[in-house]
Amino acid sequence: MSKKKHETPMLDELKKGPWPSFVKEIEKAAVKSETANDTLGQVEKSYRTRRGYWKHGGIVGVLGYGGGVIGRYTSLPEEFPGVKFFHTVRINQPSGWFYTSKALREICDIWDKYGSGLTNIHGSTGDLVLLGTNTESLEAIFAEYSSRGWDLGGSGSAMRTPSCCLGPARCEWSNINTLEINYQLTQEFQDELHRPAFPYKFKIKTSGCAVDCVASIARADLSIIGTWRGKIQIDQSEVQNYAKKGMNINAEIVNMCPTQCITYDGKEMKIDDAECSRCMHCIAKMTKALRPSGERGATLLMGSKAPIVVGSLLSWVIVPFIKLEPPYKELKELIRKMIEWWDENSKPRERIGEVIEIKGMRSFLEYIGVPPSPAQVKWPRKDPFIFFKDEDFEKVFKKGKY
Amino acid sequence: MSLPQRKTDIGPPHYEQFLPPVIKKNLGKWKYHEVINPGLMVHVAEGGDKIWTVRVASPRILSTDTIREISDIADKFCGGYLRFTSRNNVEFLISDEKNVEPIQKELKAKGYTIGGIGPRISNVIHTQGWVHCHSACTDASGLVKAMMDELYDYFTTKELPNKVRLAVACCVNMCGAVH
Ligand code: HEM
Ligand code: HEM
Ligand code: SF4
Ligand code: SF4
Ligand code: SF4
Repeated sequence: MSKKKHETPMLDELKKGPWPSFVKEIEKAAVKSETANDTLGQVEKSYRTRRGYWKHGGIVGVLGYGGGVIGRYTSLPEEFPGVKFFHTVRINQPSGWFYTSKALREICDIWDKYGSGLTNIHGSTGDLVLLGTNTESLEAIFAEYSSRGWDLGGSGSAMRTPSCCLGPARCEWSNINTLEINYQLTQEFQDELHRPAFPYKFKIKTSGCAVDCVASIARADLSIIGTWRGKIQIDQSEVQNYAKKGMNINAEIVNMCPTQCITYDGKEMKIDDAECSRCMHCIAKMTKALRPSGERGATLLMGSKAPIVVGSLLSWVIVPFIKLEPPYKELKELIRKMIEWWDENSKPRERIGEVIEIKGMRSFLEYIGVPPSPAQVKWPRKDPFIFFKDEDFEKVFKKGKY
Repeated sequence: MSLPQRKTDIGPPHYEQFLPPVIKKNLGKWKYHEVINPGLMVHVAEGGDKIWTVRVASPRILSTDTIREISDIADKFCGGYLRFTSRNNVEFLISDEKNVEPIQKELKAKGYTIGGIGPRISNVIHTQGWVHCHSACTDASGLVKAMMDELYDYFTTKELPNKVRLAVACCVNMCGAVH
């Protein structure tokens, strides 16, 4: 048991109020851990001086891996000796973040033995993050976790830990088995995940439909989003039930359809499926009345990234429709080609989306073997930056068209 | 003390072992769901099976003791099954209808914040801030805490025209690209 070492009047303010308090969590851990105790002290100091005191640097990790552990040290080791080392360990989460209490307790017991008792559940990439341990403990931590079936996640210029929505586990809208796709891709790219050899990070996120619960379109180099090719089936009596319960179908559904392909005359709802962009709005609002039918698969989009270094991007369509069935051979091969092209054409710290913008879609599409299509246009009047070559013009001239 | 034999490149454990039986049985066979209250929904399968979900907020930074407490609650009412959402909420997965009311009561009594389902402000995705990042221009957890104290009712009760997703990043790296 360790007593609270530091006065923390500013952090104490953040124990008040109704929302769950992270300060209370650090205090809870501080009862058992000097590391957590000095974390409190240092964060309080940061609040006072308005700057951070953590240092990066020094390569730390486990034998044979180049990632999964982030080295962290305090720049004030005399003042806060408990956080002289404050390395974080990324544990690769199970698909869809499902756990059992038994599994969580196992994770906690090991962590209490070697670390601060503090966690991030979860990091934004998806990993279960353990916060604060020292260099000597890393091999032991890895042996304890890996022998029980838990592996490290990715970090650095590598494949990052893929993540996905819960999909078929508890969602009627999922067009694909997000959980299995995510698991299979994580297994496929273990080497790339643990041994950084890429120009920069590469993230894959999978959502079962366009509601995109893991925001794959905004934060994955490869966004896999489930979709369908058939019609939206309409249960007219359920439509009437929604109307009876007070839904203003014209205002809330028909007028909100982005492609204006729904009509409703008060009795019957009709959808012009050829015009539907499968945005999910109507289905998400009227889940009992509407459901997709026919062939299921996914749209592959690429390129989203945070502002650093040259500006943020959202993913745009590369493959309008791909069927995704185990063992996902076509998808895996396609991803390997994408990464190869990126590796050959980029400078260090350029994400794949930036490289596609610089080199053009043509070079990228030809390499990965995907034909150009109007669906790849980001938005109206934004051309998909295809550069023409001499032979394209020759082809046209030879046909004698001009 | 000797350590167990380490293994490399095994990847994460397969998700299936963490799925409640009713989910395993109805994988991909859900028909519809209903939001019963801001912290409770029920999913109904084609064959009529049901699973209830109670969602509570988390500060994302969790101590092992809190995780054990959450695990105890899952043991008591959920056969030990629970999950986390992409926005750091905890979801208790309840297969037995008779546990639906008692778990909400117990969570309330223990001071958990129930809510976040439907057209509301869900939990805030955020980065690491002064708690453990070297390049943080500001704290992240503290900002989120102060902000959600203020917006608390929008998580627990109040309705909005649609879902609202808030996020905080403490530098332009936006690590994990908060969403
Ligand atoms: C050989 C002759 C021409 C070439 C190679 C040419 C080429 C182009 C190109 C590459 C664009 C940009 C398309 C885009 O980024 O979406 C463009 C746009 C445009 N051009 Fe031409 N152009 C030619 C002749 C003309 C002529 C004679 C006119 C008018 C009388 C004209 C009017 C326009 C207009 C108004 C736009 C803007 C269209 C829009 O953004 O909606 N062009 N042209
Ligand atoms: C009083 C006369 C005119 C008015 C009030 C007018 C108004 C406009 C407006 C409001 C736009 C849309 C600008 C935008 O949102 O980007 C536009 C675009 C355009 N106008 Fe006109 N216009 C007039 C005459 C003309 C004439 C005489 C021509 C051609 C000979 C012309 C050719 C165009 C073209 C090609 C565009 C599209 C340019 C682009 O978006 O790149 N307009 N005009
Ligand atoms: S992204 Fe779609 S399929 Fe996945 S959980 Fe969300 S609504 Fe369901
Ligand atoms: S899915 Fe979207 S585009 Fe298609 S009909 Fe419904 S609202 Fe319209
Ligand atoms: S956003 Fe920047 S400062 Fe904040 S945790 Fe991520 S890398 Fe660190």
